[in-house]
Amino acid sequence: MATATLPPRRLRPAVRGAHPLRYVVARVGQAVVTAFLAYVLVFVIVTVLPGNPVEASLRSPELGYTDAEIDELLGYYHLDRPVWVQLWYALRRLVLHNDWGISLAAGRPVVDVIADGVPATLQLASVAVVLAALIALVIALGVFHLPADQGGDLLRSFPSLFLSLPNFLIGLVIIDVFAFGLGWFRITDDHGWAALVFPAICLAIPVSAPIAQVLVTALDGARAEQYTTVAVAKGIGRRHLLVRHLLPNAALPTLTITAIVVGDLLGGSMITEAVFGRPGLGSVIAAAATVQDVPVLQAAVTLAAVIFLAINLVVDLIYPYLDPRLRTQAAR
Amino acid sequence: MGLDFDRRRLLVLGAAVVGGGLLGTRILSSRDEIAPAGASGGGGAPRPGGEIYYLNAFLNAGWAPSQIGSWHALQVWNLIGEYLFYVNLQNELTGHLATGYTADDDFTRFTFALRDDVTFSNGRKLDAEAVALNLDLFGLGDETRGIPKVANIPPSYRRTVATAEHEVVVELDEPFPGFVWQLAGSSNVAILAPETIGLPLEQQSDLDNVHGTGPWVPESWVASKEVVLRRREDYAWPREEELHEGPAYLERITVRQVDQDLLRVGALESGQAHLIHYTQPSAEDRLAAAGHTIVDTFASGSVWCLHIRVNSRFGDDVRVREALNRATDRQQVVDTFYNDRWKVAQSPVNRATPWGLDLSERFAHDRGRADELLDEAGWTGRDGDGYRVKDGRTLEFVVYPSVFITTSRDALTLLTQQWRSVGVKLTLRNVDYSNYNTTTLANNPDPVQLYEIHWGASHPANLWRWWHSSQGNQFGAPAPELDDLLEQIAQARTEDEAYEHARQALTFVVDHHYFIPVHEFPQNFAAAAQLKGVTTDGYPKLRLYDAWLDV
Repeated sequence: MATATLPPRRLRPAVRGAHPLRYVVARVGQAVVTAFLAYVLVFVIVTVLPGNPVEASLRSPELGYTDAEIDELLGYYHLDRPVWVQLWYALRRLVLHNDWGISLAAGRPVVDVIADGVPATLQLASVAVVLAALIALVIALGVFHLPADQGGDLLRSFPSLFLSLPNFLIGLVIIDVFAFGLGWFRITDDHGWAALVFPAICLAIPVSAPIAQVLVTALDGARAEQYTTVAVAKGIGRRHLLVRHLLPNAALPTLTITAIVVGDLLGGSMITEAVFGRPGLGSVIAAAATVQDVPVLQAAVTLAAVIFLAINLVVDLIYPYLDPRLRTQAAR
Repeated sequence: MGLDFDRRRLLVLGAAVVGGGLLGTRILSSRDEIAPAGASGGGGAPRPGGEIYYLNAFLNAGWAPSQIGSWHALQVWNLIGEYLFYVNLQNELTGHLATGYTADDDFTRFTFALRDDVTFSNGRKLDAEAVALNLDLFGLGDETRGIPKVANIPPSYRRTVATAEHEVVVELDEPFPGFVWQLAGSSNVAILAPETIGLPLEQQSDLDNVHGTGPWVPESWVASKEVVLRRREDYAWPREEELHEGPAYLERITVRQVDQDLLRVGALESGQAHLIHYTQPSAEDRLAAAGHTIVDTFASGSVWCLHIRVNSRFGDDVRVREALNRATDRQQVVDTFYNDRWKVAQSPVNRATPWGLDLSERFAHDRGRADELLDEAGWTGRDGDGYRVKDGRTLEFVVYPSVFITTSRDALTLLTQQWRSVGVKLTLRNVDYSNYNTTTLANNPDPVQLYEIHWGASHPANLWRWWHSSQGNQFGAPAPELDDLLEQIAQARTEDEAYEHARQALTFVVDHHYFIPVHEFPQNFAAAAQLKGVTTDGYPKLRLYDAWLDV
């Protein structure tokens, strides 16, 4: 009854109509193509830019290498060949041997360089997502419960404030107060809950902003619906209304935006990891970008694309379980 | 309206509460795990044991010897590996893994006597064969493995032969008297086990595979973030100038990358670190006042200065070049950005350089003289902004602030103001790290006119390597007289002779205003009060063998 009055949602056609397995296969295929394009595009974009790690380090006049000496090294890494030839070498290596190459800056296998960073970033990003969702939920519940002139409007302004705070500034304040001041964690030690939670807070604050904005707006929208009016008229309790009717209806757009902002986490983690001196994929990408370490950038961006696509796929598959209407549509 | 007012007022109130809270926690929590002044309990006897945290601005993502090019990496490398020779704080060459050397009359054959009591951390003994393999890799590189030769080893290196169990002979195709200095003054010439240097590059890059002869060995590492070093319990061959024998005092050293200057200083002040590399000049006095030890070493040579490319637009007129020198107020630069520990330059090399000279009068700040020189050079017109013009062209110089020095842009910005006062326009352009070196090359078709350096030179042969037109060619088109002087340095038969030619070369570049020396440039560290015995050698590389924790 109430669902009939809901405004139309932008639901993904594949979720609505396709068989789940076929849908998953289609999305995985899409992910493979996207990852491949990311791999190639990063290569082309970075390679056509002037400069490379070999020249960046060896061209220093202080070292005094001659052109011939530098050319030898460029030849070893095929950096003296045309871009398409370099791309062909890279693709052949990848497809035939599953070889992602050697980091031009670190001299180590790219897989090892990436593997060094992934666990720490996954750990940081996972905690940050949970914290961001919690922060968003607290803001939304505060807005729901507090009258506008008693803090409700103040809470509504928090997402804008969080968005405008530079990530590094949050990090510096956290370190100064909680590490240097209170001694709750050490920037020289990654172990312990505090060494993870404080960087995660730094990362979560800006990420929580869009989630909070969408959740607050969705709750506002649900509150204005007729089914809410009916439920309230029937004497439903405030908490019951929130838990049984408003939050479930606000969950879908919130979940969608949460999946989208996961992409922001990687960008944010570069700064957070740098400020807190944590290892991670973000700092690997930042270092690789600084010296145009193409193989590392290719692998890292491809991995990021795969993670992003995977999360969105999982979210798509979760939709029907959150919203019975989608199950009904799929069944038709 | 009322709602807007309320929200604004609440925001201000909220900000005040949060800010006050932060300030309060900061003030109330001024506990220091490492108490600064006077906490060391005086000068007791050194005690073995303990772990320190050392913060570096940068740590490598890979540790192949050929990648040890930066000052940052060198400080870690020097704790793991050891060198045949060192340069001490008096800038004297001292032997270590090589106890001494002889050279033939034309400086093409050098014979090194090696220690016989040294082992690598994988258990293998140091012998002539191991040293020869290392020197061949330094001198020739290995194209098949993508390993470049060490830059400072002369191109005339031919080979090294093991002539006895603990003796090697190095052969060069052309005389190079300063060769031995290159084995002490280069960053990546630590002698490593053959099992390390024989590996492919990607395996050499794994620090776990690096076996040196130093007092510490790698225990674990995380790329670009951390290196944990463990004391070698069987270490028994300290350098002559060390104060004790046997293993190092410090049991473990955890080196962390913290690239923010403020955070390194904050970590030291709050007791989270015992040692940091690169302190902000503005923080040095505060740290010293709090009882921390500032370790400044002025490596031979190192002066922050600008090369003028004499093949560049407007750089070819010696009157203009001298005017730039005369317009530069070095004392103001030091007073503005640094402290009493920093000194204005007196020549293109610093006071610690044995072959240095005080030539400061020849380029001293004299704004009136700068104006005269520019007038003489025909730059008498002015444009709407007050810059000098001639034949429709503005007297403008371009420089790219160094991507390696954090104070570079600030100092150059001050120079733009100083030079503007005599009508010279100095434009600062940006370039990213990847392209800095190629953009600022002297032999570009339209070379950038000014190039910023702060290089160390333990031996005058470095001048030949940097300046000679057949080598680094930093001036673009140096006068043939300068090339002659540099060749005489490279061919000198004695140190005294090399030093004398170096002084002539310095005088030449100062008199012809190829250089704008500004201030001397130290490598600095700050140590917590209870970390005793931190020092450097003359290159300068960090020395922690005698360091100990007084807790």
